[in-house]
Amino acid sequence: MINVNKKHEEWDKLWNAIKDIAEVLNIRKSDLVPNKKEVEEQKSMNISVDTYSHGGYYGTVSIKDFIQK
Amino acid sequence: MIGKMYGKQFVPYQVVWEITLKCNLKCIHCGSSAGRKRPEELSTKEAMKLCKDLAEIGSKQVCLMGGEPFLRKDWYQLGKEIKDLGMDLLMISNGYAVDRDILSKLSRLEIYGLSFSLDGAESSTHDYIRGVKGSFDRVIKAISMSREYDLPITVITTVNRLNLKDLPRLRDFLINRDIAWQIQVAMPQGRFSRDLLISKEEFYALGLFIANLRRKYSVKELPVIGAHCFGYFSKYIPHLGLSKQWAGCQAGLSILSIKSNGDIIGCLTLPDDFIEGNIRDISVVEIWESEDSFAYNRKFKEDTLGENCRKCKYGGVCRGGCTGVSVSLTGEPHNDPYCFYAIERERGF
Repeated sequence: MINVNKKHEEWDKLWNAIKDIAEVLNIRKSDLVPNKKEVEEQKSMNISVDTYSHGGYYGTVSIKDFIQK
Repeated sequence: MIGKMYGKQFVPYQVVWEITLKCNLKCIHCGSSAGRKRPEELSTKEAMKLCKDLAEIGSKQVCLMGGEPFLRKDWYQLGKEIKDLGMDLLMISNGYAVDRDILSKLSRLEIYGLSFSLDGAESSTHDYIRGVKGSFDRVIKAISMSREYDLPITVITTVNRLNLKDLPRLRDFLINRDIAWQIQVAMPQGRFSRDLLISKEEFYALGLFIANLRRKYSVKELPVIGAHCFGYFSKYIPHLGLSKQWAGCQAGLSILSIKSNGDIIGCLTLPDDFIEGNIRDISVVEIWESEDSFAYNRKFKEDTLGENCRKCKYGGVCRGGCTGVSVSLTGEPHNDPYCFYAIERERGF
């Protein structure tokens, strides 16, 4: 079971640690709602280390890499 | 998993090649202290042979950089050879010397990606970081002219304490321009001073900034990535690259780098201790296929993880983050302290 209070506490701690920098970067606390589901979905995927698709770029990305993805 | 991939299963799909160390700028963050060319840079004949060897070992993309690659007189000849051998060509430039003749040649070569370094939203920031007055105006002009030639453009911003504040304005400049944006972090290598390194909190906030851009804007509006120095396995920040997840440093696994004197190394951000050989002594084919090459990644074992990563549950897959960052900050691979997950654990997020 998710401990909602703990989650909020962690998130508040995170925001307090970075809020000054976040302000410089024009980001608000409401912009940063952690999308935990998205992150967890990524983690559950099979990870391949043998392919060209390790990121599609090294040195520099090309805009064509975005189009192809 | 990695141990089973030895031999032909390691293919250097992507090659990053410093074709000269000569540079017309004096960037304060330059990791390779570029300026003068190296004493014994490869001749055209040697470089052309190297292109053939890269094709032979299966490379698909070759990224030419420097220094400033357009200062090497035979850059077009090398680019054409790369294309004629069936590989994609990419180039990274500071834009200072880019003119219509160069852009016309790049158009003929059907370059896969042309990247310009842009480190500030205004001349005072960019010119200070790049060490030459007028470099901001020149790169903006180069970007503008490149669009006339319909070239696939990327802007690379290397972040330090001086230009962090410029990022929102750079974002505004790049939105809806059909330009990709690669954000990376300057590390204390070469000329870059450690006191300009962004803090871990700034690093984390920067990760959230990029993640937020990716949520807020479509790929069409703002195609943006965080480079390999951003990660890994955060509780809150999705992977900022193009793949679904970080799969560990690829130096010597699917990536190969070349210095302008023919030294072969997994990644150009690594110090000379990591040089695997020189193509004047042994061919790149033999270096790549040698059982002993790139051992830090090919023969990785979890017990080589450094103290920052030893207890991490993702250590086996992550292999300790970016090797370049890890070595730069701790002196050893597999120990990257600039890690979102490590920061979350340290700070109790």
